[in-house]
Amino acid sequence: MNNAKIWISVVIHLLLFLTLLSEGYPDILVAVMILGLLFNAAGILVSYVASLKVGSGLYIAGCVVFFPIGVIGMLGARQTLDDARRKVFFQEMQ
Amino acid sequence: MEVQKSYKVAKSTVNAQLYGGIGVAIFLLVAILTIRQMPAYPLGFVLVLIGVGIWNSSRSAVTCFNDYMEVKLAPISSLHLIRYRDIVRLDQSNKKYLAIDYLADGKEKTLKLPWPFIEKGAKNSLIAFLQEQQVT
Repeated sequence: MNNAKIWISVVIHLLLFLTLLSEGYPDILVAVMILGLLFNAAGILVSYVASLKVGSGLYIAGCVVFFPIGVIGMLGARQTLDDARRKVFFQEMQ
Repeated sequence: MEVQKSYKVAKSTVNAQLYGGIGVAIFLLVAILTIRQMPAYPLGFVLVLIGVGIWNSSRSAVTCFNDYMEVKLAPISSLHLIRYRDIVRLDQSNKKYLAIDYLADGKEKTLKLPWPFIEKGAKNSLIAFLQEQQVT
């Protein structure tokens, strides 16, 4: 997942999480955000180690927690998947 | 790759997203400024809607090239790349959409192209073009 949007969104998610943590928001909200961040981390890891498709799916699932700002990450992950699909498609065509 | 035909998103859809979003955004802004403890985050949802509207206004939903077509209906929806020779059948039985059955990775898949989402006049032109590509 070599897309700038993904890394930008990870930074935004982390900043959002730290802001919520320092402001004293309810624990359940913080827990949900931690879950979202874990999904993001797992997504990035899985996309590099195993499957790009599964990794992107996990990453997008993590971004849902941060909606609407999570859209940036969703777009990045989708763009990565589309690029990979396009690459395979053109290889098959040749 | 040379673009043979391209079809944009319908103006009615773009207008609904853009002007609808702007209307709700103004309403929310007034509410945020007048009602105490009104949360500001719903404004973020509306901004996403406006963003999607702007994105839809400048792009093509369906692009036909020499040998294949590209279909991307929404920003986070998957990209469909279909070779004309992989198209098995075009199902026009439903008035609301065109069902394109095609082969991908050895399996038959179906793509539903909703007509209200694509610009006016695309229906006849796209069907004629695809049928022509199937024959040749």
